[in-house]
Amino acid sequence: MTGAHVFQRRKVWDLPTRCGHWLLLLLFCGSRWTAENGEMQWHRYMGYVMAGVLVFRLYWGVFGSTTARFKHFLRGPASTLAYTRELRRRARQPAPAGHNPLGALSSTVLLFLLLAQVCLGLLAVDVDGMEAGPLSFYVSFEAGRFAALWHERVFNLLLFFVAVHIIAVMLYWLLGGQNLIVRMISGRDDQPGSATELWFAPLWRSVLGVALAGILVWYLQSLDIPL
Amino acid sequence: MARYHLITIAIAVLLSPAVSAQSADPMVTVEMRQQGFKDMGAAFKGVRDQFRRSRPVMVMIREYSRPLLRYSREPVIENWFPQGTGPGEGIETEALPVIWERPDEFAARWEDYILAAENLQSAVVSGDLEATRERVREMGDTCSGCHDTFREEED
Repeated sequence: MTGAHVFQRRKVWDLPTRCGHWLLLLLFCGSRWTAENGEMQWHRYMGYVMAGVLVFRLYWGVFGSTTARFKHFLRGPASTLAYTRELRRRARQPAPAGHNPLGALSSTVLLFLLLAQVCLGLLAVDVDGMEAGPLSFYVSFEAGRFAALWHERVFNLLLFFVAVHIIAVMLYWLLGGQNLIVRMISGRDDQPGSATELWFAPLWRSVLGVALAGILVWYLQSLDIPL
Repeated sequence: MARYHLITIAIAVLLSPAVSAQSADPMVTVEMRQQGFKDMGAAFKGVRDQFRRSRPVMVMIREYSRPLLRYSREPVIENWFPQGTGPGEGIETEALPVIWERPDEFAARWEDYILAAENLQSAVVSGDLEATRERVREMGDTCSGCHDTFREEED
């Protein structure tokens, strides 16, 4: 009995990938809230931690577990399109371990936009020249204002792609009967018994990545000198 | 003598369209005040940024703070915020109508700015870094305090 119809519960997402995902969500919401309420010091702290999480995720995309690796899930336009054409059928079947081509696209766009957003925030200056990212020291007021303008625009882009991401997850749930949210919490999923073996990175690799991220966060906050 | 008068009148007549055209187009005024506030923002950033260094340089603070004092001595309310330069048709501005609805309150905020600029100047001249720091904080609060009420909120 080794057909594709025999399923077993298997680990798909490792702990660092899941923590990273939910941390990004928390930090995204927190950043929005602090910016709206003028809590700019907390907004900056969240940005530094966000930068750390993103750097960890990039590191994990190269040195982490199979399903977290860019090499594993980044697909060209052709196979993404092919998957999209068969979406109605594929969405009802158990997905292959990790990102499907559309999910890969979604998370890559979100990662890229979040990275851009953090970089812009580090350079941004407010209209008074009072509140500013720690790297704005190196740019002119005009350049800092330009970064602030794009910080706002990229935020709107992020809102759009976060909405797309959430709607897609909802559709997989409602139409395909697959609860991807639980999967991203437990890290486990029903996989065909014949599915290829996944490799999970040992603890020391994630410790190294966290250290790397920690150094960045520490460095950024050390540049943030209050008036 | 009469000839000179005629020439004077002729010059005045020739120049008047340019003058009146300038005051007739509110966007000219809007752009002027926007540029003025950008100068002030840039100056304030320069001052603020000195306090991001491990050792702020007093001479730099003095140089960067010059436009802040200069603008405080100009008739900014009259020149930058005449009637008809608020948000309206064909006018792109983040200045809120409340400026012209509560002119006394707006003028009082500008008086606060003049005071903040003078206080900052005295602190800079005294060479006392900690006093200057305190005055820079005050000026930052003065800017954002006025913007909270009279300028469109930044998203």
